[in-house]
Amino acid sequence: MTGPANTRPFLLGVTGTTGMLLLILIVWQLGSTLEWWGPGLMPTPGAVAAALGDLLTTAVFWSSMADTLVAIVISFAAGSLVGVAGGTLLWRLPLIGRVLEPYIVSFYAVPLIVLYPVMLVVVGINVWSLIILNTVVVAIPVLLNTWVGFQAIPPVYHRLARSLRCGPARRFRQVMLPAALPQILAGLRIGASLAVVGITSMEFLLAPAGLGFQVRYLYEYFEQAQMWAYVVVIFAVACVFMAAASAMENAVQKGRR
Amino acid sequence: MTQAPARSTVVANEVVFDRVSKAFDIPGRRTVQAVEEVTGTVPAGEFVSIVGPSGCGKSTLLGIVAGLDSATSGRVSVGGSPVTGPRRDVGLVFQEDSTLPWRSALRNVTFGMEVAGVPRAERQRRANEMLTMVGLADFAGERPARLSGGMRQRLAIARTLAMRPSVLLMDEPFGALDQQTRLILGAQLLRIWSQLRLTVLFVTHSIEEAVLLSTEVWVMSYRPGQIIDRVRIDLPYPRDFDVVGTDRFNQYSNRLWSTIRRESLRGFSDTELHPAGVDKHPVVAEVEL
Ligand SMILES: Nc1ncnc2c1ncn2[C@@H]1O[C@H](COP(=O)(O)OP(=O)(O)OP(=O)(O)O)[C@@H](O)[C@H]1O
Ligand SMILES: [Mg+2]
Repeated sequence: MTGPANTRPFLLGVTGTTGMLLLILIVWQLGSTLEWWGPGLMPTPGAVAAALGDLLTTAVFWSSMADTLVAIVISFAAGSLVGVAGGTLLWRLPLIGRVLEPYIVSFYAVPLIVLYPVMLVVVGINVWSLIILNTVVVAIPVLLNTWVGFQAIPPVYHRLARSLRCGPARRFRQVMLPAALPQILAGLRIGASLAVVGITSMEFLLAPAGLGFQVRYLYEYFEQAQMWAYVVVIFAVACVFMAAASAMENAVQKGRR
Repeated sequence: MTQAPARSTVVANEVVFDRVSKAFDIPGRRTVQAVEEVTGTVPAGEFVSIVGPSGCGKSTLLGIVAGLDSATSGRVSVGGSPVTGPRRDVGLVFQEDSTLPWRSALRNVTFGMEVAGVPRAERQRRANEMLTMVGLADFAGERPARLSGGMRQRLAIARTLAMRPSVLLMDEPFGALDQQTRLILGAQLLRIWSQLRLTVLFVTHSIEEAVLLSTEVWVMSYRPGQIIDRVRIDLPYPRDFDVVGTDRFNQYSNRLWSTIRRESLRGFSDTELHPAGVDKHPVVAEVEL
């Protein structure tokens, strides 16, 4: 329900965020005109906006955008699926979980990009090597959160399910899964941010296409205004993606308040 | 298991303990004898309370009656048949909050009945009836997070009662509440008990509450938990909290209190709690007089 008491903090948040954006633009403009930094590093907001306007009419921009979005969405979806399924499985098979735990945890700390050469051999130079690597990147935090979420279920829920003589399917769907859901969603939110970071940075470093690749390409050709236009677009994509993930999480939390 | 019996046919069942013992084996540490040789009968339709110091095995004993835990030796029977696992005519209200935060109050109450396969219309009807009975009719649509601790506990009671159990096990259901509220809820519980004619086995650490509610109070000793006293409470029903503080009431309370105080002190000087020679410094000696 959104009564006046609930809309006020929301409006305040929106105004605050918009105000912050304005502030950044003002500082950016000021810094450029007062030459705190040279135009070679970062052109004025006006110049970047003009470059962005031009970009929006080019086919290169839209195909880069499509490449990146498709890669993000596929790797996020696949990583989430693998993570939730894997976390659930490790919870149900605690012995295997205990054996694998150190490996999974250390995967967290390894930049998976080091496996890129292997991917090249396995799937060749194409977008799938990025997607597969990024699926793993997304899956790890989702898996760990899912696993912890299930393990942290208060014993009283297990006892309740047993005392009511719940069948295994109902026990999982109606007790265990909803009990672990907040933690799983926290994992999905981390996964969402890693999906954006992973794809764009791997594009920057490795791929011949996508928004991240355009940034590096334009950087190498000293096209500062266009490069910054792409950077702005990547920020926007990340914002939209994270906002969607947070909205999903909030919707679930709200259902419990 | 037969179908959920119609309302009028719920018959209270007696609960019989036959030399029930329970030991917990924790690998690498010494075995904890939680319950030892508990024998006794809760007659059908009576209200028996168990009081005893913290950690003496009260929850363990209820868990065995509920079929959630198995006794190491001895056995419990309900209505003449031995308990081998959870059964739907034995309802347990847990010591911890067991409401489901993702369901509304009403759907918390219907949950048990959904599992038991009670038809939808009947579920709604019974759930509303039970919510009214525990005084939560106005909160049917609220999530547990919006209810107070005591309201959540009443919700759990409503969920258990809606299953029409013949035996109701309650593990410190009002444990987290202040004295006044728990007495009020206790009186409410007595009304429900007299309406539904259940057998109740009620765990509490409040002596007042036990005397107010029960037909009989059992006192459990500190580990290993044994029944060391049984006091028949001959106060007429219907009782209300006016009875608290009357002479008869105080006599019962004093008798129970003197037994329990001895046990609780024994519990606190247990070497497991105070490993380094606490016996030389009894609790009383530390009090400045
Ligand atoms: N799953 C378990 N594993 C090992 N020991 C246990 C387990 N459950 C209970 N115990 C031990 O058994 C004893 C009795 O526990 P129980 O929970 O029955 O006590 P209680 O009388 O309900 O206490 P309280 O009044 O604090 O709720 C305690 O000493 C506890 O340490
Ligand atoms: Mg207990």
